[in-house]
Amino acid sequence: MSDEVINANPTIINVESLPTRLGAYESAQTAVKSKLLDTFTSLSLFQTENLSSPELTGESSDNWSDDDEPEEEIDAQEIFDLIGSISDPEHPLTLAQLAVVNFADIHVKNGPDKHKDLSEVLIKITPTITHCSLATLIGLGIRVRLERCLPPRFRIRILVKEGTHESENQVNKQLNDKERVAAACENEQLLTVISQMLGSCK
Amino acid sequence: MVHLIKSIEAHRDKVWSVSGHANLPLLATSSTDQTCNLYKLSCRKNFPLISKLQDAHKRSVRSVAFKPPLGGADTPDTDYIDLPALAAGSFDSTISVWGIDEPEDQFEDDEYENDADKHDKQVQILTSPQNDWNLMAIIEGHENEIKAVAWNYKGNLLASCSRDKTIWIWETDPETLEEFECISVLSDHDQDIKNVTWHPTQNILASSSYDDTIRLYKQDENDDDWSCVGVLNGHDGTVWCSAFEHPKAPSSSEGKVRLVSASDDLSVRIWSCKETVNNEEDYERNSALPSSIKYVAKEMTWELELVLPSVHEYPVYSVCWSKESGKIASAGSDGKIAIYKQNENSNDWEIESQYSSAHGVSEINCISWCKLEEGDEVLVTAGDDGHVNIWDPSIAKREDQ
Repeated sequence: MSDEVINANPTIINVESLPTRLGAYESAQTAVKSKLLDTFTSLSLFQTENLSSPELTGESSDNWSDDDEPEEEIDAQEIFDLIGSISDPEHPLTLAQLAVVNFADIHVKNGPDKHKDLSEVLIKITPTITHCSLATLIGLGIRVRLERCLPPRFRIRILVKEGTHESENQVNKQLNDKERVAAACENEQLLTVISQMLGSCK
Repeated sequence: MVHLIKSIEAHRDKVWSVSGHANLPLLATSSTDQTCNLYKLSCRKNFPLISKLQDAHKRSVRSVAFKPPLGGADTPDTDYIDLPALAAGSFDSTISVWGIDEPEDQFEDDEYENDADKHDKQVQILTSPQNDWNLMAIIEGHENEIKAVAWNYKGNLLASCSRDKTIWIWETDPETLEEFECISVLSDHDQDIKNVTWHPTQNILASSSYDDTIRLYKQDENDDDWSCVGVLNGHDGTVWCSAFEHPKAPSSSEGKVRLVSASDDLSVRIWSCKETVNNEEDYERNSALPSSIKYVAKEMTWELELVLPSVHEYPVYSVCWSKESGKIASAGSDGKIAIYKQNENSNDWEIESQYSSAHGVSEINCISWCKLEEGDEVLVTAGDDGHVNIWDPSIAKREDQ
């Protein structure tokens, strides 16, 4: 990747103002960012070992068996927690802090029977600038994260939010092409970058 | 209603592709785990694993294809023992070609009472797990991921397509498979090419692409160059796969070439070519004429015949057309298998049956009509769950099962 920063002055959201499952977060006010993220994770219904494996060489979502799947449905907050903590490829900030990932743009549709019905996650990302060449990389990072963490019944659709990118259709097509994503995930260089992005995930 | 005959836990990662041999009960599978497996399509023997083809590829094996018998599947050349062979295309940008040595057990004519016995014995020998499957060639040329490989009906041409937006046609001696010479590079598509497929009795090639189109290619009759003779526009999304109708299929009508295609736009479409296409005999007859009056290959005129009744809720990754029954089957991301049938007295098609969760909640990457050793036609599907499932497509459940 080029050393040139594509968006040098992004808008940053304070960690404390990000959506969370916590009703009152007085205690979190003073907590450092990492502590808050720890709290997110401890609230998660997932087994921690499933969540805390940003390295990309290991097992994928295969370690999900029906037995250890949580009874409760996966909701938008769960997804937000999973992907909001991914680091931006060029800023030392998370996708949630940069408002690339927004709670309102995550839609989850759970199928009635998790053993045979499909569920769906739709995420619309908002690149920080309309010509952001990293939009595809960010989308790929989100997809890799979710494919690892969500059970296989989920069909994941990642789109660039309407009007936020000049090559919207092109990015959307690439991000949702199963074969291209599978091939990209075998590219060592790309994997290294994605591991770094997922390194901040708890 | 389709029903499951057998679910094989074939690979430890996604199965991308399956291919059945034209006249031997053999099935090949390929996977993200970088290997191919070979199974015997024998119900009474419970579909045994015959061989594992490994250590040839460094990345996913995306596509696998058995070479048709010498002389073509419809008119096998009986003067030779046709040894099975296959090609596998990988994301590592190479193609591997595999085959067996002539088995030591030989086919002495006088040993058998009749031809049927001899044929049975040959099939047993050629599909035996005793045969060593050897890597015969690695073909290099593509810049990046190979998405599909396909043999023409005579097995002397192999086509491959890639994310590098090109199709390469390789010529070989179908008996020895010793050399693969690239005779053409076709760069007509604007994007990633997802699939290539040959007509079952003519040298017509179809390619499906990320650029939402299908293209058709033929060899010019004046020189030997290959060129694009048709573009099919209409899909509103990546075209993942296409398959030709066999001229002998019950659905077929004379003088009409048809192709079915499956797309990311959730639709499955049938296209047909109005113009009667020259067959090989015409070609040979014309070759004897002076070039000034020779028939010159012109563009084929294709049109959308119909869109099959809608079944799929997610992208359709694979489609196949049965020579035996004339039925079409499709499968994809929603894990559904759909079988379509043409009405006898009209050109309309209806959904004969559909089956959901064919690989649990996993996606289906490939579907193919194959024949069991017992003679029954089955559907074989490949899933992201690493399984290869074998289905009885008959509507009435067979009594013995």
